[in-house]
Amino acid sequence: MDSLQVEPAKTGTRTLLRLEDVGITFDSRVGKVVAVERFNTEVRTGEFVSIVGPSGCGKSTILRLIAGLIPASCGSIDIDGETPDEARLARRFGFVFQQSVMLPWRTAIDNVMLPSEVMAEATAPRRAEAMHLLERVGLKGYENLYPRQLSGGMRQRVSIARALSFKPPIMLMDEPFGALDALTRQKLHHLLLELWDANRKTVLFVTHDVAEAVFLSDRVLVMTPRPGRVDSEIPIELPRPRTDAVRSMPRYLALVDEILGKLVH
Amino acid sequence: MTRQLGEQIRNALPFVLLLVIWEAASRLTGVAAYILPPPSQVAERFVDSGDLLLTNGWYTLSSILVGYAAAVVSGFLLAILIAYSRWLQRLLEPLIVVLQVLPKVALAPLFLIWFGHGLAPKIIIVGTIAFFPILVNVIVGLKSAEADMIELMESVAASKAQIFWKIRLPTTLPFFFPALKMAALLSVVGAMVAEFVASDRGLGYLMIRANINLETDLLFAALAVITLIGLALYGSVVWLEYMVLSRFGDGGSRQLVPL
Repeated sequence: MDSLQVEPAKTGTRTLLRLEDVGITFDSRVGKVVAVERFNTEVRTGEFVSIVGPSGCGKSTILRLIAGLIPASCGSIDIDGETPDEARLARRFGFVFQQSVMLPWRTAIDNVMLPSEVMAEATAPRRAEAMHLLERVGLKGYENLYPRQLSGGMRQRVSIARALSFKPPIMLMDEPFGALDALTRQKLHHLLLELWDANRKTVLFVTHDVAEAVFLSDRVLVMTPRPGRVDSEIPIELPRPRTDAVRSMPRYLALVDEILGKLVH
Repeated sequence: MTRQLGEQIRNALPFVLLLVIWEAASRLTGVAAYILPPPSQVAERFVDSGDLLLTNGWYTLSSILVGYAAAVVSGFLLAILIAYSRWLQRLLEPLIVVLQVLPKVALAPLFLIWFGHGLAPKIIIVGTIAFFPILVNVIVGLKSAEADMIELMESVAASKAQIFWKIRLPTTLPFFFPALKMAALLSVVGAMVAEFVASDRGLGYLMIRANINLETDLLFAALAVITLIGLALYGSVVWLEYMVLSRFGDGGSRQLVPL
């Protein structure tokens, strides 16, 4: 019955996502701007990878390139044998934005049901499923409230539920907790890891918060300032499940320091 | 129940006061009835000329309703075309700006030359004057959807039609209803002016005739009818807005408010 645990809970060794020499150039008033250049990485199934970098380095752009929302100017992106556009049309991506992006005229549950509505699935089962998802993200009893009646943290919980609602294999998260206070953010870290543990989506998580990236991830990609490239990849060999105790481990603090060092150099 | 009654009394109070002062003033000062007839005389004339007011009122109302409806439908459809077509926007934008600035009532004499003296020129004048607020606001509304919302829809492979119905149309509503109200008021103005310029029927014609014959009481009676028409039209739009935004609003409690 628990739809979130249908998939096997183990980290795969198979490469799911491959970006080779990906670049994107924007036209602007001052001429061509190279936002991302020769971006290379691979992500395995079930892996939790964060991308950190100075603002304007194109980390959000990477997510949009992968999701096929904007086309790459050069290079290749392969998502399990599909192009970004093919993968998008096959609904492989659950996208979570920095702002929760809720439709203000829809209740929480109707917002969760938006993707399946777009996919024209039958109403009754998806309503039950949406209810179950809201319960999973800790919003039981809030399903009929409108976005303006929810706090920022609650809205972000709804948008996580919405991204999970159609069971996409890949979660693309664009600074989802950036606008939240520290305490709410910590709570959502635990929720996110719990959900990830339960159904092992592949997660690509963009953030400017190094501590957050280290706490959540299996691997952190550090980007250079514009034009954005991968400066270094830092594997995070901290024990899982990650509890708050991790935040005071010397290894954790050393990793945060190391990455911060790379960002300021 | 009593609270509602109290509210209605409070709303009626300024009108009652105005009528009492007006009646008293015209009786006490003895000002000529052709300058300012007392309300009682206007009321009498209203009843006596009921048929006259009704037929002419109906004529004016029909030009308002047809012209207004045509403006709303065509304004909305053209706005959709423009919002979705860059080249069409680039082509029409300068023209729209100039036409928007142009006082539409000034076109009345021209339309009378082109379309004669029947109902057609009145409908066209009403339509022209009501068209632009709808067009401009709906274009702005359709383009006001947040980029993130569109990206969210695209990320789940929503079609253009789904994005239109689920995102763009609901975000347009708060821009559409103020335009709908303004267009309603302008429609009444358009119909009046059209009939002032040249007509042998309608409330505007009746007012011009009353003016020539110094039948000031009839003029006031016609003024009352056109005001009632305007109120009914505006009230319907306010009610429609209330109904639609109760369903497509942000879930906040809504009240029927005139402004």
